[in-house]
Order: sequence, then structure tokens, then C-alpha cells
Amino acid sequence: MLDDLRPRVLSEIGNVVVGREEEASLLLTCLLARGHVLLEGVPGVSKTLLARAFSNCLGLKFSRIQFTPDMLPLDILGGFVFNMKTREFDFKEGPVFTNILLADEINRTAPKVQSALLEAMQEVQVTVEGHTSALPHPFMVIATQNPAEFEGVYPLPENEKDRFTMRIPFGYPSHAVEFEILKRNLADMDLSLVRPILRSGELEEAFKIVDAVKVSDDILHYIPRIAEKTRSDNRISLGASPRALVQLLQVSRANAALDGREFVTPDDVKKLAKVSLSHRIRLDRSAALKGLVQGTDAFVDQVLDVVKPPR
Amino acid sequence: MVTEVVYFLIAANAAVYVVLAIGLSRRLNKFPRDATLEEAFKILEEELKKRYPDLPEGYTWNEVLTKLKRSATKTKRSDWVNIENTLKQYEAFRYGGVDYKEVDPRTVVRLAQQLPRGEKVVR
Repeated sequence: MLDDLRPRVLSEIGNVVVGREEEASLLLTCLLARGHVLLEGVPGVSKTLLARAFSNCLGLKFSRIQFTPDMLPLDILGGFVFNMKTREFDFKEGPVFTNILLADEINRTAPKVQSALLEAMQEVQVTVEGHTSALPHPFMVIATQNPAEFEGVYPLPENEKDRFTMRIPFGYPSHAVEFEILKRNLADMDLSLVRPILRSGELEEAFKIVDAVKVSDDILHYIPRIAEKTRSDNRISLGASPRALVQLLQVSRANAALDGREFVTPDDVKKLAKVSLSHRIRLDRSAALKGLVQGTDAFVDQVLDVVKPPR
Repeated sequence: MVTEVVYFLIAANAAVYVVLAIGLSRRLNKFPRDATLEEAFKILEEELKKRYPDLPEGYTWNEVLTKLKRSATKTKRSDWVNIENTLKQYEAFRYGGVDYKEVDPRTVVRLAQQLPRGEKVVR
């Protein structure tokens, strides 16, 4: 059972990151679901710090790429370099060959570079000049973006957004949390305070437990009903994709396992539907301008209110 | 004349008692004491629908019971412990296919009986 894993991870991350328990919990859920996360928030709200602390805590290999407009796909994936000794071209692995890849400010780079991550995220492998290499397991992309920026950014295309299992919004912390941040920063705080907490093989065992979580047919009918509702509403121009449903199911299983259950309940689905679906849904412009819908988060809430779960 | 009035009053009295007895019998049958786990939650669902027509269709048992815990003040604290345990077993049975043992769904039926009237579930 995994019911003690979440408290252990949150406690360890809490040594450095203050007031981000919910976000850290979602990161763990997403990792166990073999998914990828888009962290969305203004600069300075501890997105990067949380990603690093999360990686340290699980003892995983971590790479960070700062996305810039002049990047090339090779800067991420790696490329062939001529070896003077063997007189052959050897493949030199790029920063994508890691367990946790922090793609910082992903919307600052051109779509060609953003797309370079598609194969890695979907198939956990990369192909360069016909040479395919598998990525390490587990592999998770944690991308960050600032939603308030409009200049010098390239908004993620729909197919790229659809690869992200979750979008986690990072708001400003509360007064109490900011007080604690200031208090802690007076002393020397560094990431070495977050130590690996997993025993050897524990993460692999956790993946197996998640894979063994049962899903009843009623739940398998419930999730598509939610998706159908997002597609049939005339205030929406793009609804949830089948890939979104598969990922919602997988994160629901991971959540059930982390709660110590061997089966998924409608509460798991409802808890994760907003972070799993809202970034993939596109509002109809005229409906949004007329104020008929207040945003994709509010829309998903409305859908969950009207779709009857199995009881 | 007096005799007729007496007979009429007796008949009216008997009719009132019959109506009351039918009502009581219906109420007792509506909330059976030996309801199974599934029947108990079905009863609760039907009562919720009647008492709270504004309740969104998308509620889950956990959500609604959390809300009821705040508003259904007649239900004892010990009953809530039992209701929550019963819900865990029901969920394991309903979504996990796990057989339930030694479960007492009477508190769930009692909760259905005790739902506050004329109130709305806190959203």
C-alpha cells in the first residue's frame, strides 16, 4: 500500500518549500500516473524550487532546460558528434535523458523546439536522424509557463497541451505562508535539506501498485460522460480528447493508490478532473466575450455538477 | 338522532385511525429496518432527491455526507462514525467488488429518516 508515501514526500519537501502541499501532492500523483505536468504561474512563486525539491526527495536524476527563443531541438534531444578516435559519429545524449526534466518557461521557445518534446512525452523515447533511444524510467516533464506574458512568447499548440497530463496553477501564497517564507530565508536554506526518502526499488513497487488499482465499469462509463459533456456544449470550441480521458483515469488510479485504496471512486475522478481537463478545453470566443462562461476551470466545475457519478 | 351522531363520530374516529395506521405502515415500509447496504444508500439517495431538489446531480457520497454532517444536527456523533465506516465498505463493494461483512446500514437509513426538512445542503 502507498498510503504513507504522500505524507513522507510532503514532509520532506516541506523542509524547503512552504505552503505548496497540494501542488506537491499533484506532482507525485502525476509521476505515478506516468504523466507530465505544466506548472502555470507568475515568476517567483516557487515553481522551479518545488520541481527540484520533488526530484531530490525521490532521488531521481534531474535536468533543467531554460527555454529561449534561439534554441534548437538538438539542444534538448542531443545529436551526433564526430568521434576522432573511432572515426565515427557517436550519439551524445541531450538534457532530455533524465528522470525529471524541468522545461522552464516552455512558451519562450519556438514551436519547433516545443514539438521536439512530443515524442519524448508520449513514447518515452527520442529519435534523432533515424536513431531512436529510449529515455530513462521514470520520465516526467515538468514545464513552467507564465500565463500573464504576451510578448516574446509562443503559446503552446493544442497538441502539445494535450500531452500534459495536468496543468497545476500556482497562485500567490497566503500571508501566513509568505511570512514563513521570509522567516526561513533569513537562515541559509538550500536544497540539500531535501534528502531522498525512497528505499531501493520502492518507486518501481509504487508503479506496480498503481497499475493494480481496479476500475469498475461504472467508472469507465462515468469518465467518457464527462468528456461528452465538454464536447456537446456550444460554449466550447474544443472539448476533452480521448487521450485526456486515459490520463484522467490513470491519475485517478494513482490518487486511489496514494489514498491506500485498491479501487477508483468517483471522488478520485472529480478531484483530478479540473487539473486534467481544463487546459485542453478551448472556450468559444463569442461565448467567452458574452460572459456565458467564466473560464475553463469554472466550466469543468459546471460539468462535474451535472454529470451523475455512479453511486 | 343522538345515536346517529355517536355512530358517525365512531366511524369518523375509526377512519382517522385507519388513515394514521396506513401512514405509519407506509413510513415503516419506506424505511425498512433490515435494508441491505445497497438498499440503504438507495433510500438515502431517494430521500436526498426529495428533500433537496437543488442538490446538483453530480454529487458523490463523500461530498454529500460531508455537507450533511454540518447540517443534519439530529444525527449522533457515534452514528456518523458508523455511517463513514459503512460508506467505506459500500465503496469497496460498489467500485472495488469487495464483499462486505458485518456491516450495519441502519444508521444510513436512520440518516435518511432524519434529513432536515426545509433546508438546503450547504454548497
